[in-house]
Amino acid sequence: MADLEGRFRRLLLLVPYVLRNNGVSVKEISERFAISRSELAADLNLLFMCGLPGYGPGDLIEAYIDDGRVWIRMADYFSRPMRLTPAEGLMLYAGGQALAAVSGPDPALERAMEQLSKALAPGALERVSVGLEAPKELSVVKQALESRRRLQLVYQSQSKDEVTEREVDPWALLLSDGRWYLLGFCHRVGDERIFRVDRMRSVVAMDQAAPIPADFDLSRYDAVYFESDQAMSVTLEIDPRANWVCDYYPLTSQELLDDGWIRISLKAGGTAWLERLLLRLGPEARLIEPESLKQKLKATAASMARRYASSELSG
Amino acid sequence: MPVRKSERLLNLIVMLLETTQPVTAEQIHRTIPGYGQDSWDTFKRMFERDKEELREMGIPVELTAVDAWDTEQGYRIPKDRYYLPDLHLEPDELAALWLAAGLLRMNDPGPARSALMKLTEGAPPPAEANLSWLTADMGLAAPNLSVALESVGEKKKVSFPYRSKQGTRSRTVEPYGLTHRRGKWYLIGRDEKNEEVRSFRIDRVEGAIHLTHPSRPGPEFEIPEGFSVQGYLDRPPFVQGSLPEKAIVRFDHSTSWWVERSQPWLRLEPDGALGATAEVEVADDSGFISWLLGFGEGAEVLEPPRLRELTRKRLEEICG
Repeated sequence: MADLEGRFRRLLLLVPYVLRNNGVSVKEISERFAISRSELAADLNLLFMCGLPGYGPGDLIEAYIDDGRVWIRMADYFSRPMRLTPAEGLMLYAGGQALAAVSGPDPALERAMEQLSKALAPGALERVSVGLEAPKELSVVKQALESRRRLQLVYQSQSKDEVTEREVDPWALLLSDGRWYLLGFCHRVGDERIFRVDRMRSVVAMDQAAPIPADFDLSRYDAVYFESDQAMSVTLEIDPRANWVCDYYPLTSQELLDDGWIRISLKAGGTAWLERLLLRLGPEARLIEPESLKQKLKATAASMARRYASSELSG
Repeated sequence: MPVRKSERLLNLIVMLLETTQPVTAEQIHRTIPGYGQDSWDTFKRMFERDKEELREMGIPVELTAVDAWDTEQGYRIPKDRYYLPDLHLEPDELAALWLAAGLLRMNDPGPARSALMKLTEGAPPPAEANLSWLTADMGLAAPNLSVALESVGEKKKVSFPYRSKQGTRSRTVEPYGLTHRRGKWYLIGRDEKNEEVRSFRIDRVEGAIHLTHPSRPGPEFEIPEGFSVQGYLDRPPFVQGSLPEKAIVRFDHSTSWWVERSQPWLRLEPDGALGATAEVEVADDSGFISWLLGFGEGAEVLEPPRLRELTRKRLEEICG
């Protein structure tokens, strides 16, 4: 049987609606609640044996379909919908905050959020923080997407630690792991790429039109990957005390070792971020591959150590 | 859910919602059909599960005294917590909510859909309810998030098995707030055992978060004045602790741009051609050095000499 619990929840939504619109057509109910006629009949059948204690003829709910119309009686206590569950309220609130980060101030959204907080426990949403970044570049990207115009950006790549200038046709804006990403066609590489909005040192909309391809389907991008060309394999061994690394990066494999450490593998586009990660982890990580980074990491660490060796400050 | 059970739950809702005074477990056992009428133990088991399921659907079942002398306890569903208050949402407010829900279509869309169903009684969305080029994943499908928010909203104590660097152990927490950072949700609250306010990452809960007293009505603790959930996680853990020491860090030009953006808790002072400096409170040396080295060659601790020495030692360890 298909999700009977979902059916019960649907019933609690459907009954108040019918009670306020008695005689509504089966067709309309089917459309509003996305159910077939036979499902509706089964749902109404559930109501027959229910009602007030005593469960006599004057206590039980009456529910029937007559000539293509739906009637429910003797259930005044269900005539108003249920309040929102915490999960429902949080969903709309979080979505609203993400929308506010992109759209900037919007009076209708602000009023809606205020009303929403009344539908939950008093003060509950005051103690929820969504903590989304809204870098100023976001509104430029949003406007370019709305007006379908090309963007010119100065971008500081994280994985390669280099600054590049690019022209990008914007296709979509995504929030993933608390960061905003621009997805689009990069004319510099002649292919689609993903850019972190907080890594844009500057961004301006150009005059050129930039249509979104007709076959572009955002739902194909179910996860944002690290950066687009991910040719390099990375393998590390991580002290269990640094296991946050396993949650933070998209891993291709993870294996527990005999000494309690964790061996992880992932794909990456450059080594600058990895070098910094290894400097940060220090004795809590062992680099297995790429072999080539081992010498480079030691050289960087040695050069940094030299700055600290003398009492003189570098500058 | 078998048909029988749906009927039983509906009858339970009606009885507890319409009663003028709390009804005892005995009354429920006697009255509602299908509750294993011959065995009290069977009833108790079924009833506990039913209460839990109703709570998960957002239907509060409260346990209160039946009379003023507190001799008997009974159950009821308070009407003001069951019904949706009339929100009088304007069309533009509803449109904004549709957009907000549409943004999260890649998460579990169920709760957003049912929320709008309640708010609009199933009315179809307006034509422009979806920005096809905008989507957000905020980790909202994480288990336990709903009960976490319930506990924060109702000020109810919770307990849960929690995995940390020291291993997994059970915590009992007074939840003060809920906050989202980098796709993860954190419950912030006072840990009963060490009496400190801590943050708990919800996806590190091994198993379920339970309300300590699910049926007891009313708040179970007070939130200290001045507590703010905003910005609680903005400062890294190494600055939080007793007897911090002041350190001065210099960031070079290309790094200070990024620090300004990614570390809003720091106050950067321009340092001419050298970039910018910032004062940092350090309560945990090792955590501070990790954070510093994460900026690579772009950051250097200038003072105190003790932290310079420790940083040098850490770098030499990496050199092998």
